[in-house]
Amino acid sequence: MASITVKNLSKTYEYHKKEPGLWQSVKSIVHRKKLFFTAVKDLNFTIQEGELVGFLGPNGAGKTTTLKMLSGILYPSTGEARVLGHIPAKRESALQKQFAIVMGQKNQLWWDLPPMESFLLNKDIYEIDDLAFGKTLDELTNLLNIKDILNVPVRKLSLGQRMKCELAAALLHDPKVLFLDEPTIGLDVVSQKNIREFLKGYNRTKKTTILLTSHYMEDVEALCERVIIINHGKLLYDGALKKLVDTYIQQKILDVTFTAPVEKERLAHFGGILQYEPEHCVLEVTKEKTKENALAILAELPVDDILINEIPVEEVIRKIFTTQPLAENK
Amino acid sequence: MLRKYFNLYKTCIANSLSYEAEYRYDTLIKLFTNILWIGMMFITIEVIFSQTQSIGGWNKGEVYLMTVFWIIADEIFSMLFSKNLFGLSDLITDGDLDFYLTKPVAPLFLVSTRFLNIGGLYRLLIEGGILGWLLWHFHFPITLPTTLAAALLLLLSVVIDYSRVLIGNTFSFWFLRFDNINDVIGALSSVGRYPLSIWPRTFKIIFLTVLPVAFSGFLPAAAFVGRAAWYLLAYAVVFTIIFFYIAARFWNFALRHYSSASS
Amino acid sequence: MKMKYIHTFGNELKSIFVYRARVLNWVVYDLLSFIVFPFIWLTVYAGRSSIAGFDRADIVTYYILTAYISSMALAHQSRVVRKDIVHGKLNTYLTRPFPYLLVGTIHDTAYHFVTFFIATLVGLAVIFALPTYVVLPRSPLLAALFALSVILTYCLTLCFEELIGLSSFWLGETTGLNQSFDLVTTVLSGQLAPLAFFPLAIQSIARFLPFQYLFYFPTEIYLGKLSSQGLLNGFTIEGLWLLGLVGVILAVWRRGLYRYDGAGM
Repeated sequence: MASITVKNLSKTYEYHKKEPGLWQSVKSIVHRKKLFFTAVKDLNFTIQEGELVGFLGPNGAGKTTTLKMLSGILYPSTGEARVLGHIPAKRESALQKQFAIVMGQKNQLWWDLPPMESFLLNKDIYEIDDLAFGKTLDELTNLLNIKDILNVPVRKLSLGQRMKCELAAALLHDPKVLFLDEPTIGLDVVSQKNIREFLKGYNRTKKTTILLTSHYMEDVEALCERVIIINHGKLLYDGALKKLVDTYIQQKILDVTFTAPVEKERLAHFGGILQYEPEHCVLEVTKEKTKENALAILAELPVDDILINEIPVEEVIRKIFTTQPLAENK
Repeated sequence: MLRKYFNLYKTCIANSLSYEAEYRYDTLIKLFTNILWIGMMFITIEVIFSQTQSIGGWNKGEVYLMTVFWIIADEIFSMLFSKNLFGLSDLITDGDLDFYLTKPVAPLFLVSTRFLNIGGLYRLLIEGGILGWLLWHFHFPITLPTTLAAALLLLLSVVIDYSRVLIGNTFSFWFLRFDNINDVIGALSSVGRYPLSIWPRTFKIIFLTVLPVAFSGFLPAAAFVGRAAWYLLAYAVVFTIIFFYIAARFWNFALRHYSSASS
Repeated sequence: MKMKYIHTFGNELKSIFVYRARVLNWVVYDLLSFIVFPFIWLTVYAGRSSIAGFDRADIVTYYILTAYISSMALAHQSRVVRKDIVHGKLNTYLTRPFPYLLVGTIHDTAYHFVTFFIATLVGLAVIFALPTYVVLPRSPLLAALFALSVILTYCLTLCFEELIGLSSFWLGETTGLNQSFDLVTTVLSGQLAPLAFFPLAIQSIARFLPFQYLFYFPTEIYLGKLSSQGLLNGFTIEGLWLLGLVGVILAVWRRGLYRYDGAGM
């Protein structure tokens, strides 16, 4: 059963331009120039139950706007979105009880009170019964390791601890669908890893459909088999992460360390030179020729160590982002 | 040393000017609200004097004078200090005060002078104009000694206002989000717009000592119309010095007991 | 009553306790804002026994009542609503079965629940301290009607505050609007001085507007200055104003959401 279906979804904002200056301010009271900005254009995709999908794109690509339309915060301009069969913009409590959204730097926790108070409030909001609540709370606090901060006022917690509590608060009602907007933004490396591992485990055991936006590659590489890439409001790619590399990239990287200095000219015919020092180089070679070139280098040159690497996924994404034309504004 | 502080203040002025250029629209709105506020004060005076010719021995013109002097003193204080001191509570509660404690400059100076409200200059101009019109309309005699006395008292009252607000906000070291103390102080200070003689004796004393709110409107106006004895002037000078000293000591005391909130 | 609402009320009370000094400040502020006036009027009364139908005790009681109403019956929602809209905090309400308008009202009511107790204590203390200056209500019925009118004052200010706050959907920054509104209502509501003290021109304007029901109407009831017809008329018209305002609020809320973009991270 499809958890999320999106058909021809679009969102256009209107905004006003105001020139700086006092006279312009006065003028702007009477007349302002109306401009339109298309944040999302004609999106189409379907997500099945239990999938963990990454939603990628640079800042301003339309990721957060899409999430907001899927969670009912925004009304679409045209097109249709359905989550678990409901239209999110209607904000039916039947749907609200089955999904959760966590946004990177915003909080639903009460700032001055301990997280436990907010958890108890959520218990009432989602009408969770005592038994289920106790069990879920126990699970989550163990997985996220927050048992000892449950009674510390939120404003005294570090960002990483706050994020973990936000996640716990959002999952207390066992939602079938979870939207995450930049969940690891601003966190230290250790916290980021913890959150990622938690999400991966959670998705595997609970089969929750998770849609997560991020511009951290590590989030996506660690969690998502499928990615949807969006830029300038348009869908650029929807498919397996692995295939992304295969589809867009025709090269591999050879990282070679030598035991004796090698002249640059001798390396030129193996591939493009990305980095060069007398005893170390990094070459870019076409995929089909990788093995052949590697063997040739081993045979002809004084090699100490040779590594065959993939082009980092960031590079791939960056290439995709930068080769698309700018979107037209009405 | 003095030169360092002088240069710091110059930078503060420069920053404030560019901030003002950014937020002209905001200044306009504040100007409009300010005019409404002054209007309301004038309506109040009119309503009171529709029922009588004098209150506590002071006539309408004199009461108007007290109000306008109060407004001007308040405006000067707002321009120089309000945004800075009023923000002290948040600085403390959010743990941002630490930033100021690590600089090789007296924290009080930094905290008090971060920001200059340039928009207040426009308002001051208008208020000066209103004062001028008042003097003409009520035929107030203008002599040098009374004008000097009034001006001196006005400036002293700004220092007293500063000390009063500083003391109030220093309590933020002990109470969370205490910034609304400024609203309480503001409400009480409106006493200075009216003659002191309407109050029973105990209150008169309180308003000249513990809660010094009589200094920004009543005293300068009284001096201006020649109804303030010389010893009142002397008292004001001495009191200002003592009060400021108390405020500064309290601040230092609080700073020593300061500990910041978490990250 | 659904548990989530009771729980919200409880949480708000806990928050208030964390910031108790701040809350006390607000109560003191509301009680002391107009303290100059009884003293001013008392000196005006030097020569006579009554002004516009109010005698000495009436006028002192008048300001005690307005101070009391100020400290516990005036809603202050607009700033909160503006922040929630401009900083996108509405999102946490729109994505959960947790209706914003209702929950916001509960937050505000919790605050007034606390100030009610404080203000009543202070009020009783004042009544004991100044027996010669304070007028007591002539009958329990009048006292009950006074209480009702004060509750309605709260409802009315809540409506005004919500509307001003909701205008943030279009205006963004509403502090100027807020302050202007407060200044105008201070005069036209009777908070500054009894409406009867004002020139007839202002009085006739005030009669057309709902602001008179905030302070003047309750104090008139308490001081026994209204006939039964007057009481009936007053409550009816106030009720109509309330219904109208609630309708406008719901309409504005719906239209505003359409414009809302959930930004402000």
